[in-house]
Amino acid sequence: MKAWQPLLAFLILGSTFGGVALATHAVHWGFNEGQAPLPIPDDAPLAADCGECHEEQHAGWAKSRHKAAWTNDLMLAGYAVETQDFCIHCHAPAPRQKAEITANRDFYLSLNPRSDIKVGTVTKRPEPHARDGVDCAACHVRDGVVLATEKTFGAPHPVRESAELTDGTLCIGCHDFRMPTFEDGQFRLSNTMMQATGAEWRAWQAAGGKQSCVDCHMTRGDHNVWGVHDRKRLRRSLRTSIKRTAEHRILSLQTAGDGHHLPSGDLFRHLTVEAEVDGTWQTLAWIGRTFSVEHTPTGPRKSLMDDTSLRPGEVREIALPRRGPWRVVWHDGSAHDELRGLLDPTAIVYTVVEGK
Amino acid sequence: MLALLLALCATAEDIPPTEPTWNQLRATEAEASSFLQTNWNKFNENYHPSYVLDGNPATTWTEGAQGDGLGSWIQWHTSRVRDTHQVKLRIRNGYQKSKGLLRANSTPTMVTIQLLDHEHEVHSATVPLKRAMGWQDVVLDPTEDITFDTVRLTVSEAKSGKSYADTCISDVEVYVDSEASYNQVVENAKHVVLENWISERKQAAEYYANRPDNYPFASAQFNDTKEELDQDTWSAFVAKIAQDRIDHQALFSSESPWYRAESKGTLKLPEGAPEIKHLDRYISPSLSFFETQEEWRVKTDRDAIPEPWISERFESNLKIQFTDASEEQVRTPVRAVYQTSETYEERMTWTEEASWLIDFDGQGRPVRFVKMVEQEEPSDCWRYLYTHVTNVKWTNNKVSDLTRMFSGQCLEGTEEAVEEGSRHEPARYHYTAVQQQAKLEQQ
Repeated sequence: MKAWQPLLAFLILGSTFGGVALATHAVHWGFNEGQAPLPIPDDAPLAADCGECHEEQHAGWAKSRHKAAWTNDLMLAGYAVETQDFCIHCHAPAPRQKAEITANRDFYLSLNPRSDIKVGTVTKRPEPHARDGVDCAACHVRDGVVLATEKTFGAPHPVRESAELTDGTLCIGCHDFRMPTFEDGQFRLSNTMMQATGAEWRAWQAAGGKQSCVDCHMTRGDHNVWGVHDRKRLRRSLRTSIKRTAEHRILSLQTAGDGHHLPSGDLFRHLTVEAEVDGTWQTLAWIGRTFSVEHTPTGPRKSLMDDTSLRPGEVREIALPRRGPWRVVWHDGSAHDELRGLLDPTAIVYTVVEGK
Repeated sequence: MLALLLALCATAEDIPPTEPTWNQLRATEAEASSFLQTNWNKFNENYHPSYVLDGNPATTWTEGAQGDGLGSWIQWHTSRVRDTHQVKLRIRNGYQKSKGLLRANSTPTMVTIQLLDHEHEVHSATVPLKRAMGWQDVVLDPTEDITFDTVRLTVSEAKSGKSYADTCISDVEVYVDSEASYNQVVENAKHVVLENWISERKQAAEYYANRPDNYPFASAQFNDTKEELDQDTWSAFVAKIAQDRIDHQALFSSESPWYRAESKGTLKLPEGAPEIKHLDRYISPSLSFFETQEEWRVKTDRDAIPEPWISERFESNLKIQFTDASEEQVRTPVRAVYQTSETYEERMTWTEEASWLIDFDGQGRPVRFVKMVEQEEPSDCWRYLYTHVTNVKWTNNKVSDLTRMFSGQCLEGTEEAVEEGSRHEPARYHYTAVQQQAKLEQQ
């Protein structure tokens, strides 16, 4: 049987979708800020099935952070200490993926250093769907059809054009969400954004920015969807220059045309500007978001305290000592992540630019 | 003009070679094909492969294979270094704690050094080593720049020791000459992790070597095994913990006075035993209870908490149910309950409230610990109850076995979530005291 045949059967016969939707219907994306899995049916095609025909896109995706959304070390370390369904709903968004992960709950709990379950005593069951993270179906299968940027003929499955794949709607569905909170035992979304890349991009557009997410992150349709984990790109996204004064050197930082803040995305990401003074590296500037926690009678509440992220077009000047080495360092995680020892510090700390 | 001509005629050979800039790469741990395990290093306080990284000649990696361990290997991961011109290894060959131990143990005389990148060899060299005190330098000079993330040494030839056929390497340091930027902070952080591990191993060895006669565990080492449970056993467990929750609430909210538990000194749990909070306090032979007016034993804010991801920590004193006793008789605790609360600051922030219940046997020794955690989650089950039960078995007045079981029940949520049943496996984890082995004859 050809790889697309089960896919065709699934799309035509699969009643789990509620039938094939009409082209005029709005897409039921189901984005919900991490409160529940996305409406992706259990019989949706696997990425490998899609790759039978869409080789180039599959090859790009296979190298992407989307593919590693559930399996990357940073995610696993975060999930080990915060074993919350909230995380699964974006990093492995299909219900079948969530089922595999929750079946391994004891295993993930055992990875937490403060866990009551000893590491090594629980065997991890295979996660054939979850290991694909944000797979093809997460973005391209809804309402019983395959969503594409353009109508194609001769495809062995129904295809519907969706402008939302390229206009930012789809990306924002996962990259813009509020912080969950509990008040009087009830789960609510607070007013604090946990990730706000979409809001930042919209503000940039309102100020005259033209490009969409895919214009920069999927150049020529590359499904690698590069981001800050592509360190060469990260390096290119930060422009630096030095000018000297009588007292100091002034380091200027500016993003290279980004349509959102830098850092953006995960709340723990930050940049530090450091200089070596008397043989010791000192942090001169901390660039990112900081939060405060208020202990209320109904439970703790996290709020944005400060946001020093670089805005699009902004030039940030930082005074360096007149002499000696300096560097700008990218941190994927929090100080907790660097202290706790669950992650290789070389994998989450990266010197973006340095000088002498 | 003459000077210009001379300058043009100059060849590359006339330009003095640039001196390499050596930067040290650290590692948090090493692994090996084997390492010697005897009663002399029960707590991995020596011979473990990680000791080649500590820069201390008094410790060593000692292979554990038969004979001189030809073919034995040791490796460790380094930062992935691109554009590397040269790699220098500084090796303290053999067991360099003393000249006598160097002679007594086997020493590699030929090693193959491999540099690997993502497990693929990018360079290798087989080099001779001397049996001599002090450092020996080996410089690897690939014909082209390389990228590597792992260093591996394999023993190709060895000179037997006068007393022992155990091949040792005391220390290896790795230096690179590379175009890649060097991050000293990260390298230092790795060494701190290694030093902390070594310090912990030495403390453990020292503690257990001098443990008191009334040490309440049957062994300093416990082994763990897992047992799958049948449905009947599991159902009985679930029913019992449901009753525990009711009992806890009844006793904790009762009018009985608060008691503070005190135990003298520090009790270290055996190696391999599960890290159960407060177990050391309640299993201590010096455990005593004192009546107090204070509800809270611990009430700590961020500044006094060592873990930066915890912002508040509370622990109540105990409510205790005693045996009925006349005024002449000593009352013995039957059951004690208390509560703890910790607020975590990670991506989200939440408070974990735990209810604890301890059952005692007729002699005042704890035999069952129950920890019940109610946790709120943004999911289809928004209030979970996790229950962790530890049973303690006493043999000859020493703890010989600990068994643990876990259950997770949805208390509030969607109908499906409440009916889902436990999220934990129906299993029981056994931690059993390891009987002491006969002391092996070693150096």
